[in-house]
Amino acid sequence: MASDHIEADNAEAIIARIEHKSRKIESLLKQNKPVEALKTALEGSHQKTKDERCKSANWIVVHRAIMAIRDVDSLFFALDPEYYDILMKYLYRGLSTGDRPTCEQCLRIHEKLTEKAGLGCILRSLSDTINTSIVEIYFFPALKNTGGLAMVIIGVLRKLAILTAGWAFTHLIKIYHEEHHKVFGGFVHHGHLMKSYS
Amino acid sequence: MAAVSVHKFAECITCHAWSPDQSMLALCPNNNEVHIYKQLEQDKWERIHVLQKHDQIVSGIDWSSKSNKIVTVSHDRNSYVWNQESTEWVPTLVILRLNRAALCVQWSPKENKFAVGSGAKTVCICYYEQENNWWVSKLIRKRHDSSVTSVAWHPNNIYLATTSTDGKCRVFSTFIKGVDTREGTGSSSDAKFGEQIIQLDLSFCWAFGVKWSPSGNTLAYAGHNSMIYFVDEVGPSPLAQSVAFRDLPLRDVLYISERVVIGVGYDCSPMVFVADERGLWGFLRFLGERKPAAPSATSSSQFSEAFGKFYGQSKYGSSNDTVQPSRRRAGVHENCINCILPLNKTGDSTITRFSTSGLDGKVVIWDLQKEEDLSEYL
Repeated sequence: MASDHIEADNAEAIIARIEHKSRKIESLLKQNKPVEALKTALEGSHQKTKDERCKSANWIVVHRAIMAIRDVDSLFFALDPEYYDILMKYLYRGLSTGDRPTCEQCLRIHEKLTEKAGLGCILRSLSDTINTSIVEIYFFPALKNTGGLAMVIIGVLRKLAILTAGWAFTHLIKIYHEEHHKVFGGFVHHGHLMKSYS
Repeated sequence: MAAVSVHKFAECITCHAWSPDQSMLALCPNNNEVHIYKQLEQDKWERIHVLQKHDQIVSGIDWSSKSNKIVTVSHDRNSYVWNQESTEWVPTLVILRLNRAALCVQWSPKENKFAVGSGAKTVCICYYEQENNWWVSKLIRKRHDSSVTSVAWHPNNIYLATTSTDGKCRVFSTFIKGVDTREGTGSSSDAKFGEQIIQLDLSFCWAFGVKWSPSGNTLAYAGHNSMIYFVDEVGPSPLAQSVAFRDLPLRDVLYISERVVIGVGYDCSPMVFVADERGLWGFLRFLGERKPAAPSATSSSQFSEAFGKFYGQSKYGSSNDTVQPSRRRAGVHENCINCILPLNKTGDSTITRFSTSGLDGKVVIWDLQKEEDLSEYL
């Protein structure tokens, strides 16, 4: 019961955030900043949620930003490597729609992205089945509590590492602490809700 | 050129191991046999023994450096310990009590135990019982959610790290009463047999090739999503770094020193990862000659290139002449590398040489001594 309630709250909050993001993207597109719009769309876009409504709302926003890209070369001039994996994931989502203009656009970007980020990037986007993305981890560390699973997060976030090392970054570590994990589980969960949405 | 010796032994090699003095090489040519080769001179090898006892593919070989014993494990779910008596290798059966294939094996540093990872979601710790004249297998059950792909012993002879296709890397205590002693290992050895010290939940897909650094302070393992993970201060509050790279995933890793790791895998060329002075790991470069990937001008040629690649792989191990012109890069290995082992000179603790074997049937020996850009890390 309790977890259902939290899930519903969560979904509402995510939808609200997506709406806010959508407005921001529209204004960026009006100012003729498609790359900035795409970055905004990709940032924190991949919530851990099972709610299909959230997922499709998210996709609509990202799709809008992807379709607004005109010059693919200048896109990669401005897009930082930390966005590559998540962008690749959305390109495959776009290809799966079967919609002709979407597929054409996704293929155009896909070619350049593969050249830039290599096959490793494709493998990461294919293997990322749990919906957890790197972007999520370092932009919203507190959100990275995987749903009902009670886990303790002992994490050290080195922003410095992300900024200086580019591809190489330090991120969170989850370990099961056999005796204590139940004690901490609920606490972390409430904590992250407060922190992220208030 | 970092590769000092290349020799093709078979169509395909599943695993290999070196004798203590590195004059002999044991390998499995992708069948139920283990072949032992002796080096006569540079690039001239003679097959001196064939160990035939397993019924199915031999998936793991380890040759102990002090006691000169060979342990082999196979998909037939059994393990043999081979002892050299005069000129013959005499097998002793070790019943692992598994219901799935054994996948990997390693002798512990003191060589009084060996660990076997299996497809039965269990790890076997085997030790010799003097009074029964028998190898006993003790299982670590119900800890892994999937196959155990690799095992690695901590230098303290107690801790064992495992990777699994459930994506996790775990460290267990393997303390066995009567075999191990508490003294000399400090507080770390209070844990009982099979107790989990830590579970690392970094990868979301298959994990492979765990190794400890020479000091045992850090460990590294590879994920099937083209990531390599480095974990410092393995214990209650570990520190992890994930490094994503742009090429195909790794199958095995090897610590050359505390600051250099070689990764091998589906990309056919060994990759060098180094830690800078702040301890941050990153990809440095490939080993072996490598032409930069030339982007093709037209999409049609790209298609034929991809087609040629698939076609070449389906012929698998046979002559690669037809696909040679379209190969993306000319590496030493022509297929996935799945095994990497250190080669120590006797009396020298630093590793500068190592050997790799893979699905192309070659065993390649690499030397890092002439790689000047790496000397500062060694």
